[in-house]
Amino acid sequence: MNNFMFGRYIPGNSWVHRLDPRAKLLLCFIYIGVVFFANNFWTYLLLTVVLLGSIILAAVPARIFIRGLRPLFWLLLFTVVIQIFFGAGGHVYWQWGVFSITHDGLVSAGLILMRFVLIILISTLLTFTTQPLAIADGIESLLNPLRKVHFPVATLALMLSLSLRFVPTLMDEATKIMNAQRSRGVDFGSGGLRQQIKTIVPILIPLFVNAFQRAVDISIAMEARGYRDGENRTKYRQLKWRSADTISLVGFVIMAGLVIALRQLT
Amino acid sequence: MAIISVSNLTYQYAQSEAPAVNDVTFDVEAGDWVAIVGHNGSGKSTLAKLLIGILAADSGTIDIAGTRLTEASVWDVRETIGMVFQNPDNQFVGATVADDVAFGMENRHVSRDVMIRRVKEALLQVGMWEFRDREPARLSGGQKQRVALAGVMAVAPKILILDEATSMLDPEGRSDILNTIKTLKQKLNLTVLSITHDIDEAAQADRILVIDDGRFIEEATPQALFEHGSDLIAMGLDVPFSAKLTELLAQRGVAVPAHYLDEGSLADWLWKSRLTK
Ligand SMILES: Nc1ncnc2c1ncn2[C@@H]1O[C@H](COP(=O)(O)OP(=O)(O)OP(=O)(O)O)[C@@H](O)[C@H]1O
Ligand SMILES: [Mg+2]
Repeated sequence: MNNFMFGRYIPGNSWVHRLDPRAKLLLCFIYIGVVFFANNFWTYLLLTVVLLGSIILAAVPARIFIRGLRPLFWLLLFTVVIQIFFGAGGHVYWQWGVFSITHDGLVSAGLILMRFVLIILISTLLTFTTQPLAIADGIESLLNPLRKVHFPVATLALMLSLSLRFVPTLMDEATKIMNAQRSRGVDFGSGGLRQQIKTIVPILIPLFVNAFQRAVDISIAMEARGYRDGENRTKYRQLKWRSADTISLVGFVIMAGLVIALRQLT
Repeated sequence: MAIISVSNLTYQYAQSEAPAVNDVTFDVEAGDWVAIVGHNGSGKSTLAKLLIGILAADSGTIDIAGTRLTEASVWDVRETIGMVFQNPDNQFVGATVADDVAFGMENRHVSRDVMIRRVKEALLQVGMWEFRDREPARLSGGQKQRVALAGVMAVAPKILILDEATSMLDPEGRSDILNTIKTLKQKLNLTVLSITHDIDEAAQADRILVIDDGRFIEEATPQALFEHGSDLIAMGLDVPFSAKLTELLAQRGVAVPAHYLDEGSLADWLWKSRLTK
């Protein structure tokens, strides 16, 4: 599990780390939205520069970013290959049955790859610099307008933060169960696919049973502590919007405007 | 007037044959410490859940601080009772220590300024203030139980119910938290109802109630109860070392005192008895 970097939080105190999670979520949405407007060299250059700038401001080492991309390598490769072979139009370089490599196919493969990498990197930047809990808080706060239509925003946020809270607990438990099975002679990670699936089942079943028991216990504990309904509660944790948040938001809006202006160049 | 008054309480789980709590009657005076002991499955946790209205009794009544527990009054009753459960992980709801302590207050619509003050007070009381920003994954079981205690104390209950709150801790963590509870009880004049298998915890009590198959079979002071020696195991308590030793000495024909001695007083008695021989 240790080399699984995607979606991890890297503790730090950089400029990006200190931004309000709401701001970071909005920046991320704006950026991802704008990526789909990019269509030529200049727009991609601008997006890349903004991304690199943000990465530098986040002070997260580049090799950690590269490690974060690695698990997605096959997905990227697959998408690119599909685009190259099935994208049609323009000059045909090579053809065999339904497969062909065309000029437009190559271009669109390049663009897709570029967009993919930009989107993955900006989301990775978000998770690297923002604690899961802060992200949950940010989502809750951004969804607040939905309360007007009686959408259970606070309940949803509590569910989210509870599940995040129990990820390490369940991971621990899985490790314990695996060790218990190992001590009975189960050999994980060897044998064929069938064999491996067979060894997974005796982990999942106790894990599920325990998780349900846990859920019952937690709901009792919550009720005993006066939890009635999720919506009418005061909040202990509070988010603070600072001028840095406004500045970065304005910066990203300007970037969005520039990308849309630069689109016209071709 | 008794702060907890239970009369003829009976509860049976839907799928089971016999009642888990069977015609139970008892009173607890304000400021008392009462221990409930009994073997596994004797109905202790069920009784605790009935007291805070998580389960609704089939028959019988519960009065907490003068209020009859009903479907309508259950939320008021929960204001007066704080409960700490057995499993440290399954009652830690907040994402960090401070958040968890605030949880009960958030439910009670306490304003943020007051919460900030009370979180600090409560964490200082249990000695966990330095850990306020820690996630539960980076705390020991004993520390998590302290946080649970702080979360309960932050809402200032009159009654503290401990359902085997120390049973998953090592001896050190156990005596630590017991000492904290003792101090808190004295300072705030709490009423404590502790469900336990642990002899040291039961020894703190003014009174011990023994429950078996859903019925109270005995009520005694710790002193009187511990004279039973190995019968204690049958009652659901772990026999203390000093009682084991006293019994072994008696078997060897040593004239040991008939009343219960804890480790300290047994040691005193031992070296004195040598001297006078
Ligand atoms: N949710 C449930 N559904 C059905 N039966 C239950 C349920 N919970 C407990 N029981 C049964 O009720 C009886 C009393 O259980 P309870 O949990 O109150 O015991 P306990 O004294 O707390 O035991 P322990 O010392 O193991 O915690 C037991 O026979 C148990 O099997
Ligand atoms: Mg129990």
